[in-house]
Amino acid sequence: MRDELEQDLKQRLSRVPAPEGFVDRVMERVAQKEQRRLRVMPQRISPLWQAAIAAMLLISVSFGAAELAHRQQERRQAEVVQHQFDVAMRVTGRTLDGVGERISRAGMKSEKREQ
Amino acid sequence: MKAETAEFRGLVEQHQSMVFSIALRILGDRGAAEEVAQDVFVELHGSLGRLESEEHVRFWLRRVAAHRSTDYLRRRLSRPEFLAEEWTEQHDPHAGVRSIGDGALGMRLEQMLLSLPQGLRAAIVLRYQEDLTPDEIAKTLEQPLATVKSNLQRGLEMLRRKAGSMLKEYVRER
Repeated sequence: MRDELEQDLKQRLSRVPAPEGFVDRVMERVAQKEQRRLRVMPQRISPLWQAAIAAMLLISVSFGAAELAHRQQERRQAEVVQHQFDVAMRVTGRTLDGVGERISRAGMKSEKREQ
Repeated sequence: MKAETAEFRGLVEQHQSMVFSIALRILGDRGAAEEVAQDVFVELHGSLGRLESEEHVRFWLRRVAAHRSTDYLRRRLSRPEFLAEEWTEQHDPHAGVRSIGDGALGMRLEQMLLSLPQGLRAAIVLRYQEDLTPDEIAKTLEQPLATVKSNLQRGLEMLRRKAGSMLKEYVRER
């Protein structure tokens, strides 16, 4: 059961009207917020554009994948060429060593003969 | 889009008084109350898709109005540049609530209400302005029922004491 103070509170604390033009001001703020949102977010994209964007993305990805495969193949070829060059250099080095040895041996023999 | 706007406008028209009054009684300042009430409706516009019924909208508005108003008070009090004089001026019951209620008693009750701590004030406003039960207030303010009951009791006790001393002053003045 409510006492006198509670009854007074109930009676006096009734709702008060909002200020004049309140609804218009709220609607204006909502419209401004919507405009800001639309400026930030693109408009809904049509199905035709969606298909075009998807096709472009697919083409870009395909080109990217092909380019990547091409580069990997080139790198592998370069590695093979490098390996062949290393082997050739080793063989040439050994041959040159042999020739040098033979030359020095022939030189030593002719010196002995002259003496 | 136009139908949605008209529907939303209808909601604002229907609930503007409720939201504004909750904010005004918690804040005690018409300018601040309008600012908070506008914020509440702008937030409502963004949340309408999640609200299922008319009752849900009303519950949501009461809850958000009470929370945003107490948040506003907290922000004002924690602002370093906020001066005590500004607070006194903003919450001068003669400046803020002059138009609330009818006559001296209404104004005195408003004065007394604004002198309550903010936690108690929100519970009292929802109890006596919105005629909510303690259980409904607990759901609205997202507080335990025991806390709400205790806040209501403490609030009423403080108001009784203030009313007693005001009455003595009034008799002395006469």
